[in-house]
Amino acid sequence: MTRTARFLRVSFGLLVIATGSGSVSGCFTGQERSGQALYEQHCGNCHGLDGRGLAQLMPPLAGADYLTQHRAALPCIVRRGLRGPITVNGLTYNGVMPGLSAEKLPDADVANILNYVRRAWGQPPPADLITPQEVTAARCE
Amino acid sequence: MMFSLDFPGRARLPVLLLLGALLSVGNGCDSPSASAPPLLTIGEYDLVPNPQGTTDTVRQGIPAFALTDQLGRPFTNATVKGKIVVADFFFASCPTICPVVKKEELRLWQRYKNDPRVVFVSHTIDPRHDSVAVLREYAERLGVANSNWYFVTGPKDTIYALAQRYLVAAVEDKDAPGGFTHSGALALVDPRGHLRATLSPGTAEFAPAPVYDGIRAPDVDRLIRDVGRLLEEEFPTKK
Repeated sequence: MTRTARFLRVSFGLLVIATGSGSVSGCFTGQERSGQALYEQHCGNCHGLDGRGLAQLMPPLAGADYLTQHRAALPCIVRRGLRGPITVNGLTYNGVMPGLSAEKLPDADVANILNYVRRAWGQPPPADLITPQEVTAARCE
Repeated sequence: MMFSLDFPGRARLPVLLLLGALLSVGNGCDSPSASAPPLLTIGEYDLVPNPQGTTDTVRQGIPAFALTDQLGRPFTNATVKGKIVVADFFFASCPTICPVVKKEELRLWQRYKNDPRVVFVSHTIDPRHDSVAVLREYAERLGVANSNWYFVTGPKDTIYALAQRYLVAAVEDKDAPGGFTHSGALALVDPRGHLRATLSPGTAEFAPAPVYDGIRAPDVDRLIRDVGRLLEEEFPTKK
């Protein structure tokens, strides 16, 4: 292997390690970013890659009754975050969830993430998808 | 970027460690798995002249500290005297790596939660927000209240200076999510207050800071193993 090739291989390896999963999208412009990759980048640290949350600190999303009970509010929860007590599957949580502004996350990505968390982890797929237009119409910001 | 691992003044170190790890992949020079690598004593040290005319490396160990735990009780070196300590630095409102580290640390705690020879210590790097009451609620919500897991706070400078001695990076950073940049390292301390660790696979022998990265499951698996080995080393059963 030439020095250049090795340097490139090592550099790319470092890039992947340094940026973590999901945030190398800059390398793949034009390719649609999947809801899963966006979820893992923006949500997975707290809610878990398995959607199960963390004890009674971070609420679960997988199988969460909150998602069906508050369906209309979901776009603005991603945008504005949440603060204060909520009840999910009978347990109370009282943390702070940071919001993601349109600068960081376009409406289409919000829709992608929400549709992912509503159907991932073996959940029955929802009858209706959340559209980017719905996120825009919510006027969260 | 999910997080940054910054050692102030030693910015090149993590890159070198990563390079070492990458370049050694597949070169077949791993030691046989039968002989587990030794638990090293690491951390800051003094060079003390000896009668042979050379110098001995004397590890300084974790310095004296006076902090407060999640129930408002004093938490000092005396609290952990004679015990094996697993230490980390976090903050309750951390939106980045902390929940991942805590999830991994829970695996470790499950293994040793009933062992009075082991204690877990999570230091807040945001003492302004993380009051005793906040830490208490955090412990309760994590499901580890009334156990061998302590959540401690104290003067900010004290905690940041302590983090350095545990070889854990922690700095305030207005631009970072949550306001702080820190590593998710877990530190292992023996009953005499000395930092201990095995080198992570592929790490160069001279690497000064072979820590356990709390966001990496293989590192935490290694730590679970190493706590067990340290227990055997420190508390040998009479045969």
